[in-house]
Amino acid sequence: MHAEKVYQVSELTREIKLQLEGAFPTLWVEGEISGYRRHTSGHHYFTLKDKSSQLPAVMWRGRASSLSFRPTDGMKVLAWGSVAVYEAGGRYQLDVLVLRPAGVGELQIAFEALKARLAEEGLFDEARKRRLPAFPQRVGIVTSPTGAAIEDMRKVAAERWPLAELLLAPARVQGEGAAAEIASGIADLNKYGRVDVIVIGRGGGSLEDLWAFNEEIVARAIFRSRIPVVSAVGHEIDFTIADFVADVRAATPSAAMEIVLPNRAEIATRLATMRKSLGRRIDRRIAEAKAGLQGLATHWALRRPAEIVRGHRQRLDELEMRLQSAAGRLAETAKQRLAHLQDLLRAHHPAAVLARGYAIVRRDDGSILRDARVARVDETLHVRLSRGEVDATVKTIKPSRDSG
Amino acid sequence: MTDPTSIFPDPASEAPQSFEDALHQLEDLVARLESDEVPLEESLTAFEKGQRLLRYCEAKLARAEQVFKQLARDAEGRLSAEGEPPGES
Repeated sequence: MHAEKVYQVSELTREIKLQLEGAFPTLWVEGEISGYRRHTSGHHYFTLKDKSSQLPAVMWRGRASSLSFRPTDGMKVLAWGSVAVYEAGGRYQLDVLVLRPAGVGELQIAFEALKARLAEEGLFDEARKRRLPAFPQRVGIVTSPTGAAIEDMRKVAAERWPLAELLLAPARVQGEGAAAEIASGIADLNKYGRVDVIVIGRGGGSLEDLWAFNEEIVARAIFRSRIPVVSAVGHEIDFTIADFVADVRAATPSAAMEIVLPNRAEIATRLATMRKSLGRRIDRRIAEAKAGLQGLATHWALRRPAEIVRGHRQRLDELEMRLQSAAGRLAETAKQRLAHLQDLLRAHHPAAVLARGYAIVRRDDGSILRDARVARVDETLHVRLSRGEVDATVKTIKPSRDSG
Repeated sequence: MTDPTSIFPDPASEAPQSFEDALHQLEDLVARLESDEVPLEESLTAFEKGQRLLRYCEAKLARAEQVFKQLARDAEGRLSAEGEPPGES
């Protein structure tokens, strides 16, 4: 009789479930919240409605616990989820994965609520703000690889301080999943290490465009970062949550690079100043050395045995060479002074002195005889001449008048 | 300069670790030279070192070209920095 199949209720429900759930991908639904209930189980139940329809919705505990705002009745929201059939109740509903306030007013409310909560937790404390390194060798950047922000940052960095390597952790900066990508970009740069400072940001946009930077997951990632973080969300007026947590806030990505990197021109000026200062100091020191060497030459040459003098002479040669190489980079006058020093040194060299007819007289013990009163009659003295040596015997001693 | 008997220390043997390091060494050195009573030998050593550090810093500044890399994750989740593919700027 019945050519047509008779379904059991559960059978049909199962069929509907398969058909319905297979027909829709995960999607965004906009609506107004009504009948919001937080069950003791931790699951949240509510209805999304507009002027003419209602859609039951559920947010399971795991998802509900990550809500960054308190959904309340009448609030306009965007829900991201999938259509599901609740077989026991015979109705379809939206399994909500992400719930977000819709419209600027709602965003503002959520923003203020999160801001208050994180402030209370101490995420914005001034005391925990870290100083940025003066000369970062590697700058980590979290932004879109295709946006204007990265282009701007690279341009400023190349101009200002090309010595720093830029390491981009690519992340989407708007839309679903952006916040999570930004957060994991920060975490990855920390894990990779060898990064001295991190800049996170994007170019300007509407409040909705910038929303990822207002999400808790990003705030927490910044807070957890061991590396100082600079926020650079292109918006001069409004602050994002990321701005409050970051160690330093920059108004734009370009401005962030100016804050983070030293200025090549400034450093070049500093180097030039130091070059001048070094030159001045060494110039003065060369003048002083001249006086010093003169003193040394006159004092040593006649008083010490020749071999000791040779030792010092070598040292002096060394110093001279170094002075010359120093002077070579400086004024010609310094070189002339050195030439003069060389002449001076030569003139006082023992050999030169002996050549002029002086002699060095030593006693048997090798000491130099300087005072006639020390000598003994019949003592043998060794007289070193310019060429060769003679031994002589003391006959008479005549102390000079003025020495006695 | 590679002559082992050279009285000049080999510049490579005491190359600064970084630009910042070199700049700080330079600043210390200038300050030391500016305080009086530095013996001649020490001031010459300081001057020579200063020259080397200056050349190092100036060369770094003059030759620096921006290095840009992207952080990438392999199948095992290991992170590596990859240079820009050639042809792209």
